[in-house]
This record gives sequence, structure tokens and C-alpha cells, in this order.
Amino acid sequence: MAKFLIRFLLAFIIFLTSFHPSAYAEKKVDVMKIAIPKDENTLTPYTYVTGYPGLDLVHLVYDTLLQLDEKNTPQPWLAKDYKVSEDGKTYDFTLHENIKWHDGKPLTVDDIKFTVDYFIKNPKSRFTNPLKVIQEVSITDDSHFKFILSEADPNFLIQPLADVPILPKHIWEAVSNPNEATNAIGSGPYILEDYKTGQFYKMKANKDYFKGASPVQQLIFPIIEDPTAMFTALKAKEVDAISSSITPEVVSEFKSNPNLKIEEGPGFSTTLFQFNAEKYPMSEKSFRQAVAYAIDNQYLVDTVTLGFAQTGSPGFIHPSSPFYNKDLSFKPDMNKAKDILDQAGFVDKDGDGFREGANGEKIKLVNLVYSTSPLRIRTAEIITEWLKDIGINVEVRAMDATTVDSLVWPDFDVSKGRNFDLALWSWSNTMQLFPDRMIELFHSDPSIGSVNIGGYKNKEFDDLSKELSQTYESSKRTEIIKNMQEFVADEFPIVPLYHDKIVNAYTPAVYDQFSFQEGKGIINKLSFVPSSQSKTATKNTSDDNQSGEVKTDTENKGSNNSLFFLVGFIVLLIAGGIFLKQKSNKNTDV
Amino acid sequence: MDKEKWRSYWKTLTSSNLGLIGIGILITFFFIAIFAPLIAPYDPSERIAPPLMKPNGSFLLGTNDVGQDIFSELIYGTRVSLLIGIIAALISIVIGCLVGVVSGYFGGKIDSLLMRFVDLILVIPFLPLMILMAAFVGPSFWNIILVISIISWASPARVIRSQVLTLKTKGFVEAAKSIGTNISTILRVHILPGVIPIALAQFVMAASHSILIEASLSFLGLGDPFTKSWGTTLYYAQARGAFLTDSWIWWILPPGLLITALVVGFALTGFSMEEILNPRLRKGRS
Amino acid sequence: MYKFKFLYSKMIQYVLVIFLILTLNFLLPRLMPGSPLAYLAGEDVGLMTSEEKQKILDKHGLNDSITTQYIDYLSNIFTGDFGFSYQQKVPISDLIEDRLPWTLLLTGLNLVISTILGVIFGAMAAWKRGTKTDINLLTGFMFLSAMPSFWIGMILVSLFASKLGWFPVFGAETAWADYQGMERLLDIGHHMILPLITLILISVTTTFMTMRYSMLNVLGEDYIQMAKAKGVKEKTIKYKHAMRNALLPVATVFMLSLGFMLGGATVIETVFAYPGIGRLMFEAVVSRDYPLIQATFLIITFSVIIANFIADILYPLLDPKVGKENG
Repeated sequence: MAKFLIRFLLAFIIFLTSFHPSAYAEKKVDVMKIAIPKDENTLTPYTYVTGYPGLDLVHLVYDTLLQLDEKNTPQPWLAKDYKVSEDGKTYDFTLHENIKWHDGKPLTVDDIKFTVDYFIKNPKSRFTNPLKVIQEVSITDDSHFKFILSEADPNFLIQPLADVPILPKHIWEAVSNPNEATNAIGSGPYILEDYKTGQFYKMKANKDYFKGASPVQQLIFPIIEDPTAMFTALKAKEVDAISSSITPEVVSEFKSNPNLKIEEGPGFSTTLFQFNAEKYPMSEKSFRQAVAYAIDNQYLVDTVTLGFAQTGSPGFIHPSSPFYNKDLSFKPDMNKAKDILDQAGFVDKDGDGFREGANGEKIKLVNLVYSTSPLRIRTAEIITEWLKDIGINVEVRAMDATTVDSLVWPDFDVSKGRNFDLALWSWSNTMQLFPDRMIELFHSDPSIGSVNIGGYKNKEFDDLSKELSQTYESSKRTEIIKNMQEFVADEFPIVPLYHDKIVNAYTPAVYDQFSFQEGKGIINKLSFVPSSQSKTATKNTSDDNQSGEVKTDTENKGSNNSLFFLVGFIVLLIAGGIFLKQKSNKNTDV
Repeated sequence: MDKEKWRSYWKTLTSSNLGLIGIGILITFFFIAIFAPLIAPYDPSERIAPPLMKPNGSFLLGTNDVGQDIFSELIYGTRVSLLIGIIAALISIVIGCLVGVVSGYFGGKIDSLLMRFVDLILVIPFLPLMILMAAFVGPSFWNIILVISIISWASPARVIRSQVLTLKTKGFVEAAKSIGTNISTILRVHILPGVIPIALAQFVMAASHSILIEASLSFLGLGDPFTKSWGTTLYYAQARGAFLTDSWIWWILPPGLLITALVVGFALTGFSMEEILNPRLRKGRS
Repeated sequence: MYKFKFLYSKMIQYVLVIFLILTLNFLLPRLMPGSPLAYLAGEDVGLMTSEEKQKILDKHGLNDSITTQYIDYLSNIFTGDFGFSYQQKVPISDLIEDRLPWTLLLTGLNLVISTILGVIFGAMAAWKRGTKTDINLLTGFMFLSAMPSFWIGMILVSLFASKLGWFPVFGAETAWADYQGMERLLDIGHHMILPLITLILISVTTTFMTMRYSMLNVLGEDYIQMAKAKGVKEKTIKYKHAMRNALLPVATVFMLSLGFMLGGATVIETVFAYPGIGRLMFEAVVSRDYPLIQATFLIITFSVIIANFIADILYPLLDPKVGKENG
């Protein structure tokens, strides 16, 4: 009898384990804690603070018409279907049915029209600016509506459509001062339950979510400002994941930790070396070229970021971008840098060890860097050494971020001038998501080149910009953007250095269904809406793979699941067979 | 002040074990600072090896985040930390002496004005002051010294003032005043000799405080990241995750211990000096 | 009559100091380079037109003349209104209300415990002056005060929180857990142990030194010597005469420390990610949150001034010898 019991148990265990993978995938998680570095205020579209993870938390509570997938391609979301007209000026949408706000009221086409009008009336630059191109919102019927644009906009699908949170009309029509809004009722997969300033956010899964409820019942976002404390908390299992990318030097430590799992992928922020092109000698192309030749960005990547970065392309656009111009060839070369300077007349005439300008002007430059980021300080330090090696007198100075901003970008308005020589600078990921923002980066007119912080001016580039903004056809646009990169890689209004990789770490024992969105990481809506993952997922299965390279589509995953069921069933049959056989053996024995 | 008296001070100072240890520690550090290039195996600013190496035969304490030798960094760091401590303390003691003597000797309106000012300095939170100055001047070696001295002259000023007050009530100052001795003579002959030993003790204490303040400022990211002090080494170590890996043993413990040792050296010396200056304390000695 | 005059002149002096502090507090953040715009506007700042930027500055009164801003500032302070935090967009009084209790709890406990420890050990060292005990205590405490506070803190965190997992790494309590009663108390205590130990380690030396020094002074007094000569019991001398009289300077140190309770733990609060007022000030400074900087400064500096004032008033009452000299 004991034997029988043991066999039965064994069979049962085999049965269970054979089912394990699929059972695991659908496992419900009660609570998951994800540390975030900053207070994000009340999580409404008007009051959140940072682009990441702030806006991503907002997007857990609110929905957008379209949703970016892991590769940042827009996919249908609230709008289950859309059509764009030939001229790119009319967008026809079909609204997904049966969507409810967190308070139970239905989400209708009226809410969508209201959202557009509200953002136009109460500006919130990130959302309002891209919406301005909409000339008219027309409602066809209960589930169909149209956006009519004043001009074609190639980025329209990403911003605003996959970016602007749709607001509930019944709540926001009463809000007159949106900047102090507190009511964060949306339609998203999570409902904001509790928020304590500077301490935490608590969200619970929206059971009625139109894409299916999240397997994680409750999300808690503790705020831990100090990165070391944040990493320690993860290591000590006080939190289950962190929104921040872990720094290069701890990656190997975390990788060897059996409780943690690492996912890494490209990041789209750009660290670069900025010239003040209005000031001599940075105004000279030869000088900028020489500096570019002196900077070995592969060395920076290897030494400062320990390899956890992508070397920047001299043309600015990230190598994994579809717009990247791979024909650019540029090799750093100290001797070439010196030659260029010699030829341009930058030679040391007074024998002080440093070069003077062509007319004997003394050159003494200051390189500014944020004192808050040790990686950038190190980078600035090393670049400064190289510049000294080619005979340029540079001093590196670390200042707190606000001070550097006020010198490089006074009042955040490039028309107000600039007060620096050289600076280590970086742009967030939107610059790479929308390659046509290169226009804003280098156009000479401050009203167009709104982030041209170096004050760079060149007619040729302005012409290219004009051409780009008048072109809608995609292959032609790509071509122009490639030309622009070629131009930048020759003129060097900036020297792109590197793009930090995003490295996320989490405790897989708690939850492991994250999806890694390129340029962003694991804290995004897709991670918590499993049904959407199977549709768009490019889920990463192995630690060492770059995310998004192993693809599994719906059919595949579906058949995987059924495969597990099948195997489990067969195992059960076999076990049952063995059991029966044993039993009959026993019977004959006795 | 005659040589005899100084000699006796020195004798008492060195006769106490604690004082001897303190002075011994200080001398060791001075020695390291002066002969740093001879002791350190590498140039601390040279990136000679792969980053974040563990300690081994050629790199006693491994390498830092950009491949510089941590051991050499610490040896050279002695210079910076000592200099910051001493210069900042010197400036604050000079100011403190001036304010203390003037305030204590003249008393009255000047005294209460100066003392209110001292109160003011004592209550200013120095964090924003540091950022403000760093922003205007740039966070440099000298700027840090300036900030430390600006916030640390006030408390020596108080101590010195009270010493002057005590001296003033002693008969000979009154007597000198009554026979019309001029101020500078009274200050030189009667006040300063009583003030200088106290100022010295205060100086030593201020030096140890300055070293600690510099380390804390660096830790908060408000120091100059390009000045290779012990505090800066700690800043980089903690900013680059040394606490999350094993590297804290060779990257964080040693600079902290060095700071502690140097501060203890100053504190023991200063403490012994104070003991000597207070005869009543000496009386208990058997 | 004399006392009244003394108090009156002290009051005048303190009012002047307070006025100066208020003015300085107004000017300091405004002298800092850099505009708070980035924090007012969030991530949007690079996208905004200059009219939009002006609108935001207008809304927060940052385009008014300096005098108007100053008058607004003063009148707001006297009505107890610190305004809205630029960055966190919440009333500042709420923020302070959230943070203040934690700092008070942490530093208050520290003050009490380290004073008691300092007094006991200080008295012990003085009593056994010159012996091994004295030297050991002395050097031990000196080592404690010589260690950088953040360094001790971080080592404790990495050993006991990160490696061994005995204590939490951040926060003052598990805020989202909704603990009640005893459970909550235990949770708070659990979070407080490491920062508290660190604070005690770095602050106990001051009391120890003061106590030892003043006890030595007292032991040198004639009446103690006399009592000894008379053959009074050692214990009686030690506790009844010496310790009690030696406590006066310790009381002064205690009162002055009360003033530094709020600002004194900034570094420790940073290391332990403890939501106190010192860290609030640090965050405000880093993010140029003018109203928050001003409010936290005021609270921290005022606590120092008030403690000074109390010490000034009480000191002559406690020790009549000094009162006359100073007055």
C-alpha cells in the first residue's frame, strides 16, 4: 500500500511538473514592489514629473489610442483599428468596444474629442505641441471618429497617438487648474489606490481591463532617491524590481546573484560633447574636427561604462535606429587631430605648451560637466586629458546640474544665448525616437532649432531641414536624414560619444513576465498586460541576449502552451498506465 | 612669552602618552605627504590598468573605476586632505582670534555686535552656502577651503573671547590699563600670550573638523571631483557601487580608516594641549 | 530689575538675528545660479515656447520685482504659509508635517541615549583619571568621533542590511503595509535601529568629553578634596557631590544640541534614505525648490536660535556666577 502511495505521489508530481511552465506563466502575483527614484506627484497627465518612469506610471493608469510595442512601433490599443489617407492628413479610427473608466463609466468617442480640446486649451507642452497639427476631430458614430490634420505629420502615430493619455471627460471638464489636478482616474490596467508624498504609490490591478486584468494584483512603487540604497534594497529583496538602469559596475555582481535576473538592451539617451559654436575657436570647423579626432569613444565605452554602452555614431543617430547611416566612417586619430590643427594655423607660438589661435589669440577653454554623475565626470576628465595631449588648453569643471544648465542653456531658451565653451551634455531618448528632431538640434533659427544649444549656424543644414520638413515619403525622408548625418559627421557641431545601455534587474521568483521596451526598459504597460505581449511580444528568454532578438509570435506561444498541456497529459497517461499495471501485478502477486 | 614656558608646554605635551601618540600619527602623515612620490608606486592620475581590479601583487588595493591605482591615490590623497585641514583651520583660527580678541577686549557694543554675528554664522545651514559658492567660484580645492573656514571660525572666536574675558579680569590687565599702558602693549604682553596656546589647541581641533567636513561634502557630491582627496576617493567608491560588491573592503575601508587616523592624530594632540592649558586638570595627576 | 533688563537686551539681539536670517534666507536661494524652471515645468521645459515659460514664472511670482517678492515672502511667513513646493507641488506645510516627526524621533532618541551614555562614561573616566580605564575610554571615544559619519553608516548598511539582511535599507517604516499598533511600532523600530546607532556613535563623544572635563574640574574643587579628607564615602562623593555639580556644562551642551536636532542628521538621513527634514532640505537645495529651501532653512535655523536663546536665559539661572560676568 505504501508503495502504491509513493507511486501515486510520484505520478502526481510528474504530472504537476510537466504542467509547471504554463502554470507559472499564469501565476497570480499578489504584490510586487518596484522602486522608483523620485516622487512623481499625483499621477495625472498634467502633474507627473519625469518622462521615465513618471510618464510610464501615468500610462499604467491611463490609456492611449495606440501603444508602442517593444520595438517602439505603434500598435492598436484604445483604437482597435486605424486607417491613414494617401495624403497623410486624415486618420480614421475605430474605438475598441466595452472600455470602462476606473469608476465604471464607459469610455466613449466624446472623451477622445474632449481630450484633444482640453490639451489644446490647457497647454502641457509634451502633449499639446504634437496635437496642434489636428485641425478637426469629427465623430462619425459611437465607435468611429476622424482626425483631420492641417498637414501630414510623419511622427503622428507615435506622438501624439501613442503618447497622449485619454482623459475622462466627466472628471476633467470640472478641472480648471490642471496643474494642481489630483484625481487620477483613467482607463488603464492599474487603478491608483494610495500615494504618500515622497514615500510610495500603491496601485491595484484593474479587473475589468479591456485587454485582460494584469496577473500582478498590486503594484507598490516605493520611492528611493539614492541609487545605492535602491540597488541595496533590490539585493536585500526589499523590492522586487527597480525602474532605474543598474550601473555598469554592479552588473556582474547582480548577474552572479541567483535571486536576480538581468535584462539589457539598447538605450536611446545620447551622451555627447557640446561645442559653443558661436565662440572662437569652436566656431572653426577645423578645430571641431580636430577635437572629434582626439576623442576615442570606444575607449570611453570600454573604460567608463565598462562596455555597457553603444559607441555613438559621428552622425548622431543611434546605430540601431532604422534611420542610421551606416556608411559613415570615422576613426579617432590623435596624429590626424594634431595635423588638422597645425594646418589650420593653431600652433604653439609662445612655447607655453599650448596652441594659440591663427592670429596668436590665447586659447583657454573650460569644459563643464554635471557634478551629479560620476560617469560623466570621468568622461569629461578623460576627454580633457586628450585635448591637452593635442595641445589645447582646457580645464574641466564640475558644477551642479542647475548651474551647468543655466550656463549652457540659459532659461532653457536658445535665443537667450550661451555662456560656455565646451560641455559634456546629454539628450533624452526622444531625440533618437524622432530623428527629424535633428532639425531642432542644429537649425540656425532659434524658433526652429529650439534645442540648438551650441548656437550652430550653417545654411546648408538649414536647407536640408527645409527639405526634410516638406517631405512626407518615407524612403526619401530616410535619405535626407542620412544626408544630415553625413553633414554632422563632417561639421561636428557636437561630438556624439555614447548611448548608455539599459540594464534592468528584477527578482524573477516574484514576477518574470516583463517585456523590455527598447530605449526604456521593463517598466512599461506591456509588462503588465500579458495579452498584449503575446501579440506584440519579442520576449527575451536568455540573460545574455540583447532584448528583442528572440521572437515568439502568437501562434508560437499558443502552440507552446498547448504543447505543455499535451506533454502533461501524456505523462499523466503513462503514469496512470504504470500505476494500473503495478496494481494488476500486485493483484497477481498476492 | 619666554622660551622656558614653551619648553615646559612641549615637555608636558610629550610626557602624556596620548599626546605622544597624536604627535606620532601627525608626523607619520606629514612624512607620507612629503614623500608621496617616493612611496606611491604609480602616478595616481594615470590610468594604468583595467578598471575595478581586485588587489594583487602590483596593485595593493586594486584599481578604481577608471583603472587608477587606489593605493597611490590614497598616498597622494594624504597631501590634499592634510593641506585642506591645515589651511582651512589656519584661516578660521586667524579670523577667530581677531574677532575673539577684539570682542573680548573691547566689550560693549562691539562685543555684542560681533557675537550676534557669530551666532548668525553658527546657525546658517552650510549646505546651500556651499552650493552657492561652488556655483560662483567653481568647486575647487580653494573654494572648499574657503567654505570650510567661513563656517568654522565662529566657534573658536567664542572660545577665544571667553579666554580674553578671563584674562581681562585678572589683576595685571587692569593694572596695566590704570597706569596708561597703550592697547597694543597690553594685547602683546598680557592678552596674546594667554590666547595663543588656546588658539593652538583650537587650531588642531579645527583641522580635524575640516578634514571631516571635506569628506562629508565630497560624499554629498558637493566637493571638487577632480581634487584627489580621501573624501573624493570615497565619493567615487560609493557612487560606483563599491558597497554593493566586495570592493568596499579595499576601496572604502582604507580611505575611511586614514581619515579616522588623521583626525584622531589631531584630536589627541589637541586634547593633550587643552589638558595642559587647564592647570586644574593637571592637579589631579599623580 | 536686573534680570528683566538682561532679558530685554537679549530679546532685541535675537530679533535682529532673526531678521537677518529671514533676509539671508530670502536672498540665498535667489543668489544661486540656475532657474527653477526645469522643476516647475517638468520634463517639458525644452519644448515650451518662451511665452509659456513666462506664464509659469508669472504664476509663481518669480517675475515680480525683488522687493515685491520679499514683502510677499515676509507676509507669508508671518501668516505661517510656506506656499507650494515647486517640485512636489504639494503644500510645504504638509511635507514638513510628514518629515518632521521622523527627524524628531530619530534625533530625540539619539540625544537622550547619547547623553546618558556620555554622562556615565564621562564620569567613569574622570573618576578613574589617568588609569587604563580612562585612557581606553578616551581613545575609544575619540576614535568614534574621528570616523566620518557617512562612512560608519554605509558600512553598517552594507554589513547588516545588505549582506545579512537583518535590517531594512531605506525608509522610516513600511509605509504601504498599513500596520497598526504594536506591529507598526516594531516596524518603525526596526527601520530606526541602524541610523540611530550611527547617530549615537558619532554624537556620544561630545557629551563624554564635556562630562569628563567638567567632572575633572569639580573633582579638583576644594570642597571635594575636603570631603575626601574627611573620609566621606567614595560613592557619596562621586554621585552626590561631583556628578551632580558636573552636570551643568552637560546641560548646556544638551540644550544647544536640541537646536541641531533638525539639521544635524542630514548626512545620516541621506545614507539611510530616511525621510527626515534634513534630507528634505538637501533635496530642495539640489532641485532649487525655492519655497521649500526657505521653509526648511527657517525651521532648521530657528530651532538653533531658539535653543541658543533658551540656553542664554537658563544658563545664568543655573549658574549665578556666569550671569553677572556676561551681563
